[in-house]
Amino acid sequence: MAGRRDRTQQLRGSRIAIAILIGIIIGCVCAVLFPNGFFNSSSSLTANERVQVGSSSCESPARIKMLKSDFASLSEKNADLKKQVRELTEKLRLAEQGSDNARKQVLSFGPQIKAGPFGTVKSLRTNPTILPDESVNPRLAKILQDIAVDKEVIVALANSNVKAMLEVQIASVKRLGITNYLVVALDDYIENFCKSNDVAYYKRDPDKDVDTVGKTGGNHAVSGLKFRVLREFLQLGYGVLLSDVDIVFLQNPFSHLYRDSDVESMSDGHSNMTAYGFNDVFDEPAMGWARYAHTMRIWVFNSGFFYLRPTVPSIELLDRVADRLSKAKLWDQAVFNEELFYPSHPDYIGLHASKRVMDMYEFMNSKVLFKTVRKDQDLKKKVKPVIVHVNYHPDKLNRMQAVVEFYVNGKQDALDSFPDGSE
Amino acid sequence: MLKSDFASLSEKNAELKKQLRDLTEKLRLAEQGSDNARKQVLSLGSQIKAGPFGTVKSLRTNPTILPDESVNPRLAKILEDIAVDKEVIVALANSNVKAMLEVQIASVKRLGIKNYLVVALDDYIENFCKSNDVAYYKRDPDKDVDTVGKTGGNHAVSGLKFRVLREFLQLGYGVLLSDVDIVFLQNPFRHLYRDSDVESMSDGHSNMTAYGFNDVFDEPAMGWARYAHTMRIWVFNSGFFYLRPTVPSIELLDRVADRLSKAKLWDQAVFNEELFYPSHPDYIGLHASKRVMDMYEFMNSKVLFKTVRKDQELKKKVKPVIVHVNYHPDKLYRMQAVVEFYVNGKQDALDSFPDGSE
Repeated sequence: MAGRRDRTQQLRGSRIAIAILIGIIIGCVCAVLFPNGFFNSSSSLTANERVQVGSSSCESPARIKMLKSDFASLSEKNADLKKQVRELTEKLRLAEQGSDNARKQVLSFGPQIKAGPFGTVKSLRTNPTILPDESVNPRLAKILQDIAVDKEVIVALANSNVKAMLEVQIASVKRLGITNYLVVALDDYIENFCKSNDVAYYKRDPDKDVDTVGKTGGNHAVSGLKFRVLREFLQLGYGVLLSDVDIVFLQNPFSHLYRDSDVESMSDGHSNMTAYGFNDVFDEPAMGWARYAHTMRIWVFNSGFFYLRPTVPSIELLDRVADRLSKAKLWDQAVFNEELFYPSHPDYIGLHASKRVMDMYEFMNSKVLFKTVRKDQDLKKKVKPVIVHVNYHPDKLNRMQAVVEFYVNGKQDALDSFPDGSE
Repeated sequence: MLKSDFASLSEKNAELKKQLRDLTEKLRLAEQGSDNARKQVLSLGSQIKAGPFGTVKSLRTNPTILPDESVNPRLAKILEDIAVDKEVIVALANSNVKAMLEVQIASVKRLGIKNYLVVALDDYIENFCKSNDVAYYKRDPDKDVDTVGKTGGNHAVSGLKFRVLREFLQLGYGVLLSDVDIVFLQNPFRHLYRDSDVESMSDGHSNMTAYGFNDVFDEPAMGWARYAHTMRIWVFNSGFFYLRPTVPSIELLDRVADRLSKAKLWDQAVFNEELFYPSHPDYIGLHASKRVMDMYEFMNSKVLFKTVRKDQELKKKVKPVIVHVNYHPDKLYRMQAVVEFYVNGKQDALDSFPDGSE
């Protein structure tokens, strides 16, 4: 009995073993024939194989190759773009943070103000003065401390070429009892001249560039120097009234300044329009309906007589002018005005300094005097200039002396012999 | 299948590119803002010592005022809805200019610009905006303003803007004022510097006239001093300018509105006089920082018809942001021609017009 049961068990066991073996073999065959499974799910096929399967019937191999490479490069571009987006997002986050912080800082300086009702809003023209810094020039600081009045001073630059005119100017200053008057002596001669005439002077430390121009330069070159020299005065916290040497003083100018702007200057203009600004209409008839183009025009500020408040915009003005003059042979008066008047435009950031034009009869240029005032009986009698600047004429000394004769000594015909203009 | 994948990938690509463009623009704005704020910090801090040569910079970008919603809560709500980065384009219009407004609105929508508002001066325009899905604002009735708004000619209506815009600034918004005879070709906000109180397009036709020059005056009788130097610049166009919400900007609007209320003057003349004249005896000048917009980006019609369309290179390369048909009376036709040329690419669209007009 045991043997038969054993043989049945053996038989059943071997049948099971054979079934298992057959199953495995079928499985292997299936695996070989259908490596990706029975169900044709597209995700499991790679692009290449899908191409083969799907489009082999409609595209040439070359085109397929091109599409593949286009796709590849596009994917690459895509990945690159994603990376750029990530980087920019991070940069933006940081920038916004930084700008946020800066804005908070601004707010901390004082409450932002609400704008008041119509007609009550006034923008600031009179900028805050800078903190005086004696360390920039202790020697000059001492001189100014001695002679300045209300932290203001008249400054004139002179070399021996202009000694005669300087003499007339000094005489006019002393006649008025003005004590806050300083000559920046550009050479030894003027230094000695000032010493012997009891005039406050300042001689800079030797500086090769400045000294060459100062000693030997013509009037334009010397004129350009002032923009380098004056910076220290402002940094020391002083208001500076710059005066050329061809100017006669007839009243104390400090009694006639407004002091409400960064720059307060006399004009080269000869009338209200030219001196204070006007709308100079430009006519182009060919344009027909729009033939008239409107333009803003003003005669330049005279860079031979101006008052600067010790503020940031004033110092920036001096720097800008000095910088441009150091790089090109330009007329300092032209640069002075361009920096003051041109707005910002593409590739140029304009200076933002408040400006005031001095009264053209109080601070008189010689064109106004010789072309207008001396010929008008009313003006001749009533106008009392504070200064007369002989800028429009080359025979400066003679005309300066005539101005003194007329306005100080009362000689009524002192101005008559001169022509309006000159050769 | 490859083709469809390619297509979807290209779409994703285009999306990413757009995202990149938006981000770049946002970054530029943020850096501009932080730059300006940093300059303000330097200038407004406690009294400072002046730095060495070349390092001293005066502040051009004045601090903005504190927004005050109470001046006009209704307008505040409208602006809150449509403004982008607290900036908005504003155009004033009455029924007289409906045709031009239509062309302008089309150009604005074409660019997808959302922060565009029409100040409707009468009911017709109010309804027009409603039916064309354009944001609009109609002021509370005000006898003075409304008479001019409804019946006034173009100069009178133009003067109104200086009273209307004040509230926008008081609410703390940067305002890009636009006349109706302007076609938009790119989003102008991408091309502003935002570093000055007033940023305006010029009436000039060259670098010199647009940005300022030394116009030497010759008086031979003066002999040695025959040449008098003068500073001259063509006026800012009061039909397209950007104002930052600052004290000087508001003072500018007040000064102009005040003078216009007292005398029959041209608003563009007054606008410029207040901006440019320095103080002088018996006059205290405004002190607002100014920037002139690029004359080719923000193009007036003299530049277009006298210069650009006749120069093959300029015609091809210059891509204006806006074109303002200010120098010509046949505005609608020229606006349409601008659209034909710059948007639809019709190369001869500008050819038939004379340089000027009768």
